[in-house]
Amino acid sequence: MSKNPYQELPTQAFWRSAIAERNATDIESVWQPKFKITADSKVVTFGSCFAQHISKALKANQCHWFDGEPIPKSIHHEVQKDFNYGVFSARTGNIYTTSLLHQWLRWALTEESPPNEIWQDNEGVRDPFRPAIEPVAFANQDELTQSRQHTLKALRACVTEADVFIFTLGLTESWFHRDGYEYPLCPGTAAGVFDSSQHRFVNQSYPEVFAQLEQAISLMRQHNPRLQFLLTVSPVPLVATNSGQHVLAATTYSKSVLRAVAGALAERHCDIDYFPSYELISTPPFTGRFYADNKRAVTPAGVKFVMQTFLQATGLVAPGQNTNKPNKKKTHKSAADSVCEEEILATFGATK
Amino acid sequence: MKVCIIGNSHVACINKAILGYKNTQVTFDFFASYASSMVETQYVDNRLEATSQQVRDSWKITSKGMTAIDFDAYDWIWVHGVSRSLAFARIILSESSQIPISEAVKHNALVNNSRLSYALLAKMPLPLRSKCIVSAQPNRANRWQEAADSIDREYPDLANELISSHKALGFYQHLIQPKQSLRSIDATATFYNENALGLGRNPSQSGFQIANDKSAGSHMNEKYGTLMLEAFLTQIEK
Repeated sequence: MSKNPYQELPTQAFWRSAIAERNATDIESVWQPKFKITADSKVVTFGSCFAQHISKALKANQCHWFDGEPIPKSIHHEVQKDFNYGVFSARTGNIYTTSLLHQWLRWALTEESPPNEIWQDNEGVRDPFRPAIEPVAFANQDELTQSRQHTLKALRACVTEADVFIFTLGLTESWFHRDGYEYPLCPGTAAGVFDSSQHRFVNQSYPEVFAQLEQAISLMRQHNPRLQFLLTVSPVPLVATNSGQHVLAATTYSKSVLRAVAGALAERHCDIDYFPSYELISTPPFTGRFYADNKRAVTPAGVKFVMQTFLQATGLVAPGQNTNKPNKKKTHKSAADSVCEEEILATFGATK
Repeated sequence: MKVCIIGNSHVACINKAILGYKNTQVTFDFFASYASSMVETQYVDNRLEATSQQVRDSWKITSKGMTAIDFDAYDWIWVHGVSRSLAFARIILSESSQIPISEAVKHNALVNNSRLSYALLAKMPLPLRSKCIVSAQPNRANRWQEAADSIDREYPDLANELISSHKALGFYQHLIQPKQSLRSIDATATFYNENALGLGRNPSQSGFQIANDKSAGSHMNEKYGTLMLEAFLTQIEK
């Protein structure tokens, strides 16, 4: 009698041997990279706030994280951090959705230009597409435009010069102007004024998320055919949902769609890989241990575990070699160290 | 008028200069400790107290017996020497001009140049009864990469940028290194470095001593102290 397929499968294919009989942090071979990422690979990172942990880990371990929009070295790192330099490879701010990524790339790589919309307030003008990029408003529209153009130029350089483009998918919920362009945050939250006649909510479906990401990758390939892609899904639950669902159900919907899209694209293309940061934090073997007291923020220990898995699998650090250590004083404050524009939404639920 | 001067070894030359200052309308107290040790302090019961024995001992000597600073007892607080120099501010402006950064980034970068002074002042509850002035450590005397005419060419703009940045973001005034003390825009005239005065880790009872930094050129002499004192008095009279 011939063997059935399951008899040939390796240990990691079986829950009992791969998971149940091990300590959670001893789980092995969760990710086998499709392509090589070496210390010389020029890597760029964009996406939701969790993407920042990848850039930090790469920098801390002497890898070539490409900063397309560096600030003068003479400017102190506290100012750099306050003004969102060195957070992502260009100062796009958080890119939570695949459609927003596609929009940024069209502005950077095609003839399409950003709309003229700006948000004026008492302090100056804000960029609707990077409302929290600086802690204070831009002095005027010229300064805002010049700054954004510089970011678009940096994004173009990131695409054309990088070897690996890492994108962390964060949300399906999104806000659009009725003219069709997307905001990173709902107008009226971090800045601007909400106008129900102009602004519309879209909770994107699998086909929409898939199509936008596929088009974004296709556009990048036109400008850099050798660019390889690594997709991850943020394990950080939604701060708030406008979907009408309970935030728990809305989170599951969002993460499920994003995870499925990332997996499907990685399945189809040999130069697109999926790194399971979502699974390493949020799945049953880890019993929520990597979430902070608010059951949402990922602790430094969780970030370290994810990044150690990433760096060891790629061979960027040797097995058993420690990566950067989490700061014990900040054990339950991981979000304090990263830039998450979406956090602003929590303030609107403070009294509820 | 009572003035409290807080700082590091760079206040030594001012301390010496004040010995020759005859105006009894203005009195000065000094609280100094070497390098950036002045951040080893905390604000308790309306007073700034040292949290390390070294700073406490140093204050006791430089202030002639006091071990805590009661800010309410002074009309002016002058923090000197714990901010980075004019030359460094110039580097920031020069590098910033090469890429499009916002005015806010530039302002913050220039103000951050004074971050140790700010850290010291920020310990105090605001608003203060007394007014505050911050002045940076001088440009080094042993370096000059720029021609002397760089002073005329760049000093006014640099001074304006620094003053407006601090005005926009700080709660204190900024006192710029006097133009006449410069050899070039990034160097102090060596004349002011001869017999330079410092403080040392364990200050002498006089509150100043000859600084052993001829090669570094970072400390200045009584003449420089006099220039800074005159600049300070002119500014507070405005």
